[in-house]
Amino acid sequence: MELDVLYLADLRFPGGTSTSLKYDLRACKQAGLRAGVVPLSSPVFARCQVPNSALLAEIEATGTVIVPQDETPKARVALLYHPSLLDKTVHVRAGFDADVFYVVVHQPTRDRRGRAYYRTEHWSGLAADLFSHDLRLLPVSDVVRKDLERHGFSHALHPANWTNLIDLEDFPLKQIGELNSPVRIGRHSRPSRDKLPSPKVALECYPQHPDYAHLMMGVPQDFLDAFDTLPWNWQIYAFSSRPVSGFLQSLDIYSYFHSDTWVEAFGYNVLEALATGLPCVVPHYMEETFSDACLYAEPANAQQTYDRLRSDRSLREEVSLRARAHVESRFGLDQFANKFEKIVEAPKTSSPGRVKHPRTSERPVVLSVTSNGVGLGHLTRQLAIAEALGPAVNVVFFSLSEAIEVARSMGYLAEFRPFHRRLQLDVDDWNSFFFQEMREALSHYKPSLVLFDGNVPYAGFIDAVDSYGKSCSAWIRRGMWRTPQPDSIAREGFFDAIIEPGELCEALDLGYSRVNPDNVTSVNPVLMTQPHQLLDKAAARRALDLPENATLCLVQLGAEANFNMSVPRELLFDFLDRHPDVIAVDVRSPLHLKEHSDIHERFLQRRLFPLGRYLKAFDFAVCAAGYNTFHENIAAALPTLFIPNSNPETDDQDSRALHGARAGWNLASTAEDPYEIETQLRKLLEPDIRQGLSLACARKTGCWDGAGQIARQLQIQARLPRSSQEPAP
Amino acid sequence: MMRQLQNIGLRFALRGLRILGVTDKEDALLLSQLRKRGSVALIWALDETEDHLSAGLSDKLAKLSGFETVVVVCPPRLFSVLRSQGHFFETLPAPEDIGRSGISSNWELYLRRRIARIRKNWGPDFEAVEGPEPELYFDAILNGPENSGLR
Repeated sequence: MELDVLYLADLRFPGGTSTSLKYDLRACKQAGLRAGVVPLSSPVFARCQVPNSALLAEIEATGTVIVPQDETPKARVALLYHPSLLDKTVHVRAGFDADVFYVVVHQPTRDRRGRAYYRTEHWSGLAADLFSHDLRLLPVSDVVRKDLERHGFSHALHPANWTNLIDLEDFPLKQIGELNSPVRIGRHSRPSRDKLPSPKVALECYPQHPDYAHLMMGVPQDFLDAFDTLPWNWQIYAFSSRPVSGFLQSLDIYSYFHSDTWVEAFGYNVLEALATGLPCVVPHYMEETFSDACLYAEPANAQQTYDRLRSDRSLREEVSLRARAHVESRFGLDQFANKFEKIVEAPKTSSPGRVKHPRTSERPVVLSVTSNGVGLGHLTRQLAIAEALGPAVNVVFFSLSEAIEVARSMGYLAEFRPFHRRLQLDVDDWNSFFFQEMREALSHYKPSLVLFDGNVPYAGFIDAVDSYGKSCSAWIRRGMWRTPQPDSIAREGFFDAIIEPGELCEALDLGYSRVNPDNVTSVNPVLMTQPHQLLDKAAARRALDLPENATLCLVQLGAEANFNMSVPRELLFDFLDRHPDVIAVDVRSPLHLKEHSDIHERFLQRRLFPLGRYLKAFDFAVCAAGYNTFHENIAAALPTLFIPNSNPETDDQDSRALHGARAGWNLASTAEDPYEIETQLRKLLEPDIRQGLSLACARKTGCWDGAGQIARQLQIQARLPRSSQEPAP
Repeated sequence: MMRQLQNIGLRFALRGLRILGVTDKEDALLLSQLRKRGSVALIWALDETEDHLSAGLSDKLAKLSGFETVVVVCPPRLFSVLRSQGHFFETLPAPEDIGRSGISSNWELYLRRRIARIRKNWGPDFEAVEGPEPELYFDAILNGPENSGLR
């Protein structure tokens, strides 16, 4: 793999570092250069911190290469894209071969009180030992350059800065016109305490005054808590609650002041405001970065600057044009080729100390570990993700599910280990067993990625993955928890990614799975079968050997291992007795043992997995409201009476069925209410009602690609190759 | 000891086991304390090809019905029926699945260790085989030079 620029980067920075990388990738592509990314983990974040979604989207949009784990790329320039990554815990497993290597320094070494932002004492040794290169530094601004000079790194500094860039097309020029009152002054930053001045100073630079309204996006709660009552002319918005460009368009003036101790290395937020053509009022030291593009003031004098701008339209126009022109000339994407040429060097022969890792021809292994569950839910979601990852990886199932044959029959290598419940084992004893089995499997399969799908990551699983230490790990878990699960939440820190398959009924989710929202990535609902893959009614009926013209009712009331569905079943048989034109079809996995076939002459049984493609065979359905069935039936626009399994061990199926009924997607009844079940069954016989439910379901479009979203995120985070036949995002 | 059991009759052997408590199940991680006090039979039935139990396996299960715990190592499509009969089960990746996977790590070591762990984790008093012995079943992988790519 040959690249022009190799970015060794942490994709989880929430603010300017990720935004600058986003535009670097875009600019690199526009310059006709090939970029690749090796995702790394900076020690400044919790292991499971979610990646920056805008950056992931840019990687997708630009087709930027994610270097697979076993690949040793060759690059003209390698950039370690944040100083915190020059750390003893960070290394690139298969190495890289670059003509030149730099650390891009996005932050000064210390704050104004002299407190270190990151450790620098071993930089030279770490660059040599872990990256096989001499230490060479590229500051993002003169502010950082001077700090590095002050702290003994002059010898390592490259003469050029690695200046942040921005795409002006993302930030339309704000038209300067007459001002309304109050004048809208705004600021945005990530919600860190350092990014705001003290409350006293904040009241000076964002004063309570009838002529001004202050709009602030990204303010930490502990800052707000310092006020008994917030100033009446402050409007607070959550970080990233609005698109930055739209927020900036709503302002008349931009004003950014921060804590006394903080040093802004560059000020990407200010760059965005300047690109929008907003007059920017900022501290004096930022003149080093933005020269005459901003207006500079002390916090105490900021209001005087606002007053000048408010009363002088020509000043506003002049400052606005200067701001935009400054950004165009110094920070536009077309500057990339220039900054690249300044740092690129003549190709070198590989240095003798550089270890070349021969690439194996084998596909990387993804080990998919699923808990036992009552039904097939965990396994089904993992199969959907495995299919979405495609043939470029080798998915091996390592499951506690006794239904593991369904994975094997779909062509996957599948292993099974017994769960403690049926064996009535002491849980600690079983975890000892599972640790031993997992650890052995990890050493054997050497997976690039370990997926876990289940509500509680077992101690034996966690200890084994931790002990092995060479795999990226991700926890896939659906939401709608009925109760708080602090023991589960406490295990989040053992994973590199926590991904929650989307839930149509998220409005009723009590949020017990999202105690730490910064740890959890949400995606769309995960389906085994996409709506466009459904067979039409006639073909589905032929495939299932079902009569062409009968009224067919799909029955899926779950495994009934932990919940009694006898009342709905009895009512269903009564219903069949009274409606001779209706045939009920009970569909279960091929592994389910056949029951007596003479329960009812029009109660057919079919053994099939997965069922999704055949849902159009049915006119309506009576089902439990498990995650997969609920979302698959709605995606297929199949009119369904959902009867939730209310066992406290399951997810909150009651809320799911209830919300769907309120939204008009389905009918719902509890399993204990024969009168309601009877009423709802009768409704399903009415074509108008069925059509109404179908139409309401069919309005839910474009939201079913959760498995693909998960696959794409994992391909980036775990550095997996992409499959060529994978559908475009 | 286990091979001798086959010759002297299961019922007699079972009675003897209960009296003598000859098998040390201290390391049998998959047995509860209650099951450790009972007898355990382990059946290797790796080459079952049908969706239902073969006559041979059914026969073995019937003969071993006196054991408190019966564990069958078999293809996973038989799990449901074994569960319905109250048995426990394990599985090993089938040779054709291993070959199809293209994973060429040290299968010989992995399978040998896995087979040993199944024995250790269940601590069987008696072992039976329906079809080939596990080592023979995986012979192509464990010993065959033609599959050296899988070793």
